Amino acid sequence: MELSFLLMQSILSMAVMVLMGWAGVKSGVLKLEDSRVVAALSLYIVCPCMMLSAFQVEYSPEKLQGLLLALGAAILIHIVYILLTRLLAGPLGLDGVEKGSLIYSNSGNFIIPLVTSLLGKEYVLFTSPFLMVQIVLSWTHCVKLVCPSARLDLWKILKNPNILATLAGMVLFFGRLRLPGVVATAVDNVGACVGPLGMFSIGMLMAGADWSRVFRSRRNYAIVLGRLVIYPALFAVLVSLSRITFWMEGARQVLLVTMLAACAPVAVTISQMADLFGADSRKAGVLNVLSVVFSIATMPLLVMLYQWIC
Amino acid sequence: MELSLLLMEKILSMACMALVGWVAAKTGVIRQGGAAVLSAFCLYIICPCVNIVAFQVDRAPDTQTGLLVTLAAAVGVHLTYLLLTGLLAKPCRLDAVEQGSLIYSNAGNLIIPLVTALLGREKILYACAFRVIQTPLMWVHYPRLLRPEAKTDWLKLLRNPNILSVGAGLFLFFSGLRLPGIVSGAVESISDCMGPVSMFNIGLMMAEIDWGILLGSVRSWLIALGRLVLYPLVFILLTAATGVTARLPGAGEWLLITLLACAAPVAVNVAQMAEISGGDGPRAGAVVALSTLLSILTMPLMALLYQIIC
Repeated sequence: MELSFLLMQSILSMAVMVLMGWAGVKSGVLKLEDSRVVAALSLYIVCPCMMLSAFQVEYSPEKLQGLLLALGAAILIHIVYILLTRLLAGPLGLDGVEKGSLIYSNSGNFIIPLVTSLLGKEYVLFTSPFLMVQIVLSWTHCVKLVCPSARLDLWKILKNPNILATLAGMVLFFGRLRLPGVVATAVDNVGACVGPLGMFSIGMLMAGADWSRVFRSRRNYAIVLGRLVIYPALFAVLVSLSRITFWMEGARQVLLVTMLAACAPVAVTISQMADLFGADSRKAGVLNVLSVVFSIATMPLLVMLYQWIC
Repeated sequence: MELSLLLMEKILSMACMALVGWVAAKTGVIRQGGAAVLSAFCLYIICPCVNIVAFQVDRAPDTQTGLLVTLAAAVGVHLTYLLLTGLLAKPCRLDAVEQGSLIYSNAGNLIIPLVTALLGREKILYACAFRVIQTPLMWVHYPRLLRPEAKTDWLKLLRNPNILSVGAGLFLFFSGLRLPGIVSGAVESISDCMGPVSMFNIGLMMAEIDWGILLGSVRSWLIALGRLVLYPLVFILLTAATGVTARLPGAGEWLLITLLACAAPVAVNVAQMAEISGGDGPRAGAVVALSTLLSILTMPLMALLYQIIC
């Protein structure tokens, strides 16, 4: 209960930052296309620094166990989501963008700041397995969903700055190496900007959205409900059925991080990819905005559910 | 001695961030014009947040005395600098950009992150005291130096987001009001971005500078050294002459912050305003870059000297 309340506070405070980005564009201080600069900064510099600094912790067998658990949970839940979406696709007539929006959540720039403020910096580490599974899948499976004729570029996955930073972080973690003080401070401070910058860029994108379109379509509400409530509830139920939180020490906290990632709004990548491959990027953007708005209420509720049944 | 070393470490770690910005510009991750976006971001969103956070402290008698002392010191030192520059202008044939470079230091985006890292967030308000004096002066005096026939637009001055937010901060401070938790959480996280974002910005600007002009010009070196060594020395000598640090407990630390502001490199605004009003923008930018590089060495030395003398 208390955690859900804290979560709600953190999400609201992130919503304030979104509002500032939105106001920045609306007042003409920033231009709509400036969000690209912020997004590039966020994707190529700030997020990798965050990942690198997450792995700058003392190595311990418990942490390794937690990482493996989070990795297993992330792989499993993505398989479940992909299968479930395939089952639903036929009867509901889901298109590529809708399928992608159901499966892929914004587990990066939305979840990392939340985990930092809720559970502490030392838990950010456990967001990385989910993020890695998601990045690999989104450049293979998701690209195929959004644009069936697209050619897969595996090289691109390896060149993704987040993957590179995670790999570098893991080398340092397992090698028990620490960055020198001057560099470590720089990396930490830069990484701390992930929340504000990510929220600004969401706000700037929202300023370009067509709001009458956002709230009009009933179908969009259904997709968002699926992403924010049904899919994460499924994860909570699966965890509860496995009873893992009762016999493995620390599993409850680690899987809470996975839970947060699973109940996040629709990934921004979906709109970016739709844009890149000529699919319906407007619809993808609308789904994204709508899910961010509703997540303020649904995320705390689902975390409460998780704490109650797991 | 210890403080100077710590200062050097922090400055080096900020230099790392500037380097990252420089690399991002050189590799094309951030396209040309990115610096302007980040400047707008800093000026209109991050700086106002910092100004408000700085004054969200308890109004203890001690804090009020400190605020008054740093305000008085800021007034005194700016008067001295204006007089000194007026005296030097004739014999040294200083032009408007050079005079501005000598007087106005980068007391905002360099000093505030440094003070936060060195002395803690509750001390930022003393750095703001310097800016309360510097910001209006820079916007009234420096444009007149650049174009003697120019008129001051007082309304525009009042609408400057930095001045507005300092006003709001002071109001909250003296009325003892605190921002609600959600808003203050957002404002604090945003203000933590000031260091990284402004260092990226400086790095991006440096990537666009013609280093050939810079290193060949002896005059630029002299101006930079004047700003970094001669002018802060004057402040140290004045402080020592008044003997205030011996009489007033706490004054040593308060005035250290003023010294840091006096010993900072040339203000980025000096180049930006020169650009706008048709002055020699590129050369002003070169002096900013040179003084920023040299400050890695000179600032810790000045702090050391201050601690020895005062």
